Amino acid sequence: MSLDLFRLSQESIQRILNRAMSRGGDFAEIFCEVSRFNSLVMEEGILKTAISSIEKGVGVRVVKGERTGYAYTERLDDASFLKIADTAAAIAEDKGSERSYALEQKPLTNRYAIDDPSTEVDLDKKIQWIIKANEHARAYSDLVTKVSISYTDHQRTILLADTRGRLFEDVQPMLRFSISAICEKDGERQTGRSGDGGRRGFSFVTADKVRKWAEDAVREALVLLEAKQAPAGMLPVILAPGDSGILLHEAIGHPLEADFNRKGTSAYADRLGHMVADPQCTIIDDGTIEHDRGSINVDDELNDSQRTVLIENGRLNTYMMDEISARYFDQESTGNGRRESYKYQPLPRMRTTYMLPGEYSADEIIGSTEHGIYCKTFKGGQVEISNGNFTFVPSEAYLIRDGKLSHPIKNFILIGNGPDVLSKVTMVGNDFAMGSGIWTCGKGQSVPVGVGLPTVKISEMTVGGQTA
Amino acid sequence: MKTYADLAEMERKAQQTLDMALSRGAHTAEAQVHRRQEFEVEVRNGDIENLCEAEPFEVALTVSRDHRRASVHSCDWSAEALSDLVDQAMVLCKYTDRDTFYALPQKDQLATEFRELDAFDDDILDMSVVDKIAMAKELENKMLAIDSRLRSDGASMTTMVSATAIANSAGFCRAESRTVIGLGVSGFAEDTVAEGDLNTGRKQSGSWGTHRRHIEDLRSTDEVAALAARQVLRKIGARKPRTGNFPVYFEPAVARSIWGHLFSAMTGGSIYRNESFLVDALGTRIGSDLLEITEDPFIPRGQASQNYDREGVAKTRRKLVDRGNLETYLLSTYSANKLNMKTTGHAGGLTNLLIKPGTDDEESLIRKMNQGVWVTGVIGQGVNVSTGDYSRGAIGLWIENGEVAYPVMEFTLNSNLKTMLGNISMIGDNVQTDWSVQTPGFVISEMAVSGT
Repeated sequence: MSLDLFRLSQESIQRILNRAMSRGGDFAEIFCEVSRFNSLVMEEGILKTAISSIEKGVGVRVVKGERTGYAYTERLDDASFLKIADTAAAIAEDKGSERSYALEQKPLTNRYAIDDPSTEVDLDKKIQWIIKANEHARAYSDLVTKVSISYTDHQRTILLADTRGRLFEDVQPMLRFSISAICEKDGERQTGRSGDGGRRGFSFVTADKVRKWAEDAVREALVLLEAKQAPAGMLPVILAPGDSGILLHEAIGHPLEADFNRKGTSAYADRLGHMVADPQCTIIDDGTIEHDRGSINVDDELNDSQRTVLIENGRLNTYMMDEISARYFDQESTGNGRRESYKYQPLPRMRTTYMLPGEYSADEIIGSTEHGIYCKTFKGGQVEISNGNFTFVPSEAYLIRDGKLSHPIKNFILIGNGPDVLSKVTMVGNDFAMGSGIWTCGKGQSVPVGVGLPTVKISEMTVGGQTA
Repeated sequence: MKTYADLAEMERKAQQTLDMALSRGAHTAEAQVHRRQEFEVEVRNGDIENLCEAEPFEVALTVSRDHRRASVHSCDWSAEALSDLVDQAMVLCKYTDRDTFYALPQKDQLATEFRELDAFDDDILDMSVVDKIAMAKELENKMLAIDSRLRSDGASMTTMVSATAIANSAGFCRAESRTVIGLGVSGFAEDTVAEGDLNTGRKQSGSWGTHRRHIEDLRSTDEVAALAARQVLRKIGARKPRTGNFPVYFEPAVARSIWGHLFSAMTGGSIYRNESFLVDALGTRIGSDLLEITEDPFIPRGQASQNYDREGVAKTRRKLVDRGNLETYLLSTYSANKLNMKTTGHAGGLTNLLIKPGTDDEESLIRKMNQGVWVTGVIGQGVNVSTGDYSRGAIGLWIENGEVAYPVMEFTLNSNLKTMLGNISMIGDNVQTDWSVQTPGFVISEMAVSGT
């Protein structure tokens, strides 16, 4: 246990927890974090930026019903700890009683044990991969005019103790390799992007992967140079396996986060047990996949991570719970209470969200479509929780004509309504794939997440291109 | 006047960090130290939901040696931690490549005159927690009283008191303190859907927030409540509009996002990287001749007022766009060097922006527009600043015969930013002052609307 790292001891934890509960409260917890971030960026063929940063702090939270008091400090001494405990305690109004919280260390099932953390690797080795990626990208096409490459890693060590007597420490590694390439032809300029990552060690980056990421980025830019304007109106939309899972993240993921349902703002409030999607849809939020970007051993309020079935054959099974919501719904937490850092209190957040495969082949699905859109890679998405409208933005996409992929298309966003789109999932493919390990979800706070999807056909969705 | 923190002490801290780096071999160094006190309370349905308080610290250092640059950040101000941080930066800059464009500003570009920007309100320091909670509760109550269909998704009251010192080896060192007070409320209402039960449980939501440097300038809870309620109520019953090309009215809150894309395309980094639709556009016409945008860094109590940028370069009041002509890029010393130009004092971004209003009020704009979409919100990341391609989701009101006909949602708007700026055909008189970009609404004569 790295209690000393935060200048804490078993005794000081007792004092802080007692002070936090001095005005009553359902529970209190101490959240300690030290995070190291490193980032290297190559631009215009030179290693331009190297950034290194460290964040270290301690937060105390007191919860009473749906009320939360939270305070944090970066000054690690007993006086500061007791001060934040007092601030957090102010949320409750009763009288607490002095007691001893028998702290017991929670057992660890490590889903991201690595023996070569990137944060410990010599910079020269990382720089070699960046130089290689730059060479591969430039060698792939004469049309490449700019390449930028970034390599980032983050090691987050968290230590939690709570009034239920639980004590836990977790070391969460993360690395990410990203490439963007600009290609120009006849005065037109397009950007392609690629990359991958996860809770991995440095050996995750290999010569083959670096070459593939570099070439994928350039290839996407070249495809976009040939792309025509997308159409407007309602059309069938087919999503390629993998990163298309961003559809689930927006359309159903966010609206099933328990805070929106506890407060009644989500379209899915009071709909547990109801059919909310086509019966072909079984949707999972999973924090247990080995080395996945969205995986966690415990969440940021000490509850076990798990594989949570959100929707089973179209029926709504559960929301994604943090501790406050779980108590509200009188249920166990699903281990979705996550926070960006000690500067924030936890919220219900996704981990890795995906749909189980169905029975169709990709060829059958594309072949069934006379006139539609095929989306392969994505830039991101957004949702408005209350009315369920969500958008996501394809980068590489094609028009489908007579059951075949026709020319590439560009400059369009897709907009749909969550409940509506999930009832229009007409075919689910047998070719499930996880997305790339690059996604970050923003809900006031940023957390790493994953997505996955087989090929999926949505019978109609609004395509935001241009009119004929 | 009171200040938060000992500003002289903060300047010393920044200067010490700088000197330490120079004494250990750095050829140039830039340091920033920052601390703040933040408070936020959220209430929902008359009860406190969240109360958060913190006093974070930040220190950032960028060093260069032989034109090789590196940056480090930390939240630990102790002498020992600062010394380690400097060592770390010095090691890191051995690994980066020589970049001869990286330099600090010229001495004569640094700010030497400091106007009174009145960015600090003593009363915010003295405001009691009880008063802050009461204000949030009052705001929530006022919104709920407007219409019985409204439910609350919470009201919040935030205050922040901060101090920042900037120092660099070009000879700049200065600390200033600021205050911010903010007030916001979110509401929602059940919505009914005509066709089928696909959208069972649909709600509509809306919110309004406002922040100022001084308590007395803050909008009243009555005004904020009314604006938030309007954001919710006018969405109820929304349906998809039909597909076609129509005029589009961007109300001020949404107009702001279009200026955001323009400013991002004007930023030196986008220009030298060739990732902007405004590459080679300096001094040329980039929009309708109605378009006039002025940056005024010196508005007393202005939300984004500043005497100098992150590099200590003096700010100036200037026109960014004049009668549709692009008057300047937004350059830092680095991007200026890349483009063989001079810094415009935009390291760290823009300050207060004033978009020149027209003479029509909102009602008159809508009447003249006759048919089309009044956009009240946009969603999604479908903007490509490199090409100017624009495709975003939207929500709003359908206009027929110069009047609001019904609410619309789940549609997209498509065009290109170059075309859109050129097609601004009318600008309203309704300047919205809640943000540092003070803009009226405007009409774009034609965009592709994709709905049913």
